[in-house]
Amino acid sequence: MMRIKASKLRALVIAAVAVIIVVDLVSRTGTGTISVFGYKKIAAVCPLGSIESLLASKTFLPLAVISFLVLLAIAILIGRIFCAWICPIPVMRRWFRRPPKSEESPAADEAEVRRVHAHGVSALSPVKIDTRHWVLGGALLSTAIFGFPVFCLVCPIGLTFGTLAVLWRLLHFNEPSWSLLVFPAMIVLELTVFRKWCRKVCPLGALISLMSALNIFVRPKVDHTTCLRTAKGVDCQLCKEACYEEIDLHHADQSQPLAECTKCRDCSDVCPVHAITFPFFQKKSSSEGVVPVDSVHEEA
Amino acid sequence: MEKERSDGAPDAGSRQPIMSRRAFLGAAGGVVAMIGLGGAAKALAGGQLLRPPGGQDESAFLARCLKCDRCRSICPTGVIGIARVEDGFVNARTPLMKFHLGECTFCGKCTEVCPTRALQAYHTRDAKFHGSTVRVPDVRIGVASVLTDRCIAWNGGTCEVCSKACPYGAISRDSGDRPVVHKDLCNGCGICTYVCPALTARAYIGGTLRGIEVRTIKQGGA
Repeated sequence: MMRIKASKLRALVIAAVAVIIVVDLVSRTGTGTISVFGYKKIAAVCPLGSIESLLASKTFLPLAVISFLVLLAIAILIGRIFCAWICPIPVMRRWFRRPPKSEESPAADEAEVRRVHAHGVSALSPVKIDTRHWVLGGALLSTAIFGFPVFCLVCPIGLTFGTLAVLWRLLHFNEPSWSLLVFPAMIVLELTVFRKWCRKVCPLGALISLMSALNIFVRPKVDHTTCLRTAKGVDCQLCKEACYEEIDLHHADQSQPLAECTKCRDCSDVCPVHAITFPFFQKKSSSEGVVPVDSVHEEA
Repeated sequence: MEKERSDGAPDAGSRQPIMSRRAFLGAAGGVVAMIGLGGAAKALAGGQLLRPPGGQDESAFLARCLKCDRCRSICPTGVIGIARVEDGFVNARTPLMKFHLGECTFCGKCTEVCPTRALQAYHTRDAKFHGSTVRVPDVRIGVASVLTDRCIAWNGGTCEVCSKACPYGAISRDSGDRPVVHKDLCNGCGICTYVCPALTARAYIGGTLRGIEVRTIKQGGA
């Protein structure tokens, strides 16, 4: 079977999503954008947008609440897939990427490796508070104070499709607007000032990873019988270095929680021995990182 | 105040701070930026815009609208447009009525697809006007007002396009055959603006306003 690189596959899926949205922009399907996507009354509302509209209007909005609960269930089942497979920002993020700095990574430490084996990364607390959560809290607080969805104003996802919409208005209705310059300028500013926008700033990502805290399926699994690091004691860091979300499947205490995993499969792609898989179902006995003690590389 | 190590490394002899200085600055920056953004946007908010039907309570509308574009997309007449940043930063990307592109038939599709009820559901009843059935809504988008300096009939010409087009009988003609809007009958459907030929017939007057334009209820004073 020919293997397509995960990053290519993701770009294709994101492009397909963008095409559906552009079709909606230029026709009268009314399916909407990523902010709200659906058919007639059935719609998936951006979970951050749902909470913002509830807080800003201080009224109960049934469709927003139902949508939020359904998306919560999806996040619990398959995790934070939105961030890698639907959101257009990771694709754009690459255009503004700086050449990576080589970081000193801790050498493999037998005791540490054995400890990870005993507990697994899954034993980590499912939430680790960082800047994104504070941006999320600030956005919700500001929304409640000022009475309108504040983050939507600068959301790069909204601005991306806003830009396409304004471009279409210009071409089709000869309707010029400063929006056509302001929106893309804001996106570029956000992604250049915060080169790690998704990891450091994005409150939507923070919210979805909170919703994914109890994620059950499609979690990355290391086969410790083939992994170079655990089976052969090689200081291989490729999966850790490939992970944008700073998840280290071998160093639980230095890793972001697995709820941050966007199922992008970059780790699986770079692994030279294909030791990392994303099985849909996973037997509890073979959950992440846990291997039988006798297979742990012993020395002395 | 206890001095924190900027690198967040454990300080020998004293307890490790809960948060490194870097993390604290990031957190404070995030919260302050969001509060500042909300305040600035509120301070620079534009004036009231002509919203699709059901979105006339401007503060309730702005609280709920997620700028998802669904109402604009589904509109069968294409009358719903997109507000620009020039209309106010808070208003950018929100829907507004563009009566130069169409009229509102109160079909209810835009309120149906709005999941946050920024466009609140309204009712219509069928009524007969001049032998044809029209939907009479219990909401008003705005109210039409004749621009007497631009209207053809008000400037010596002969034109009765708007008064004939109005499905609600809200435009009559005065003794000089000039259109006059009855504000109590007008619901701001905008068909009068859509059909008004003032800009084509009197192209030399310049500008983009036609001989009759729909204003918000506030501006129209109805």
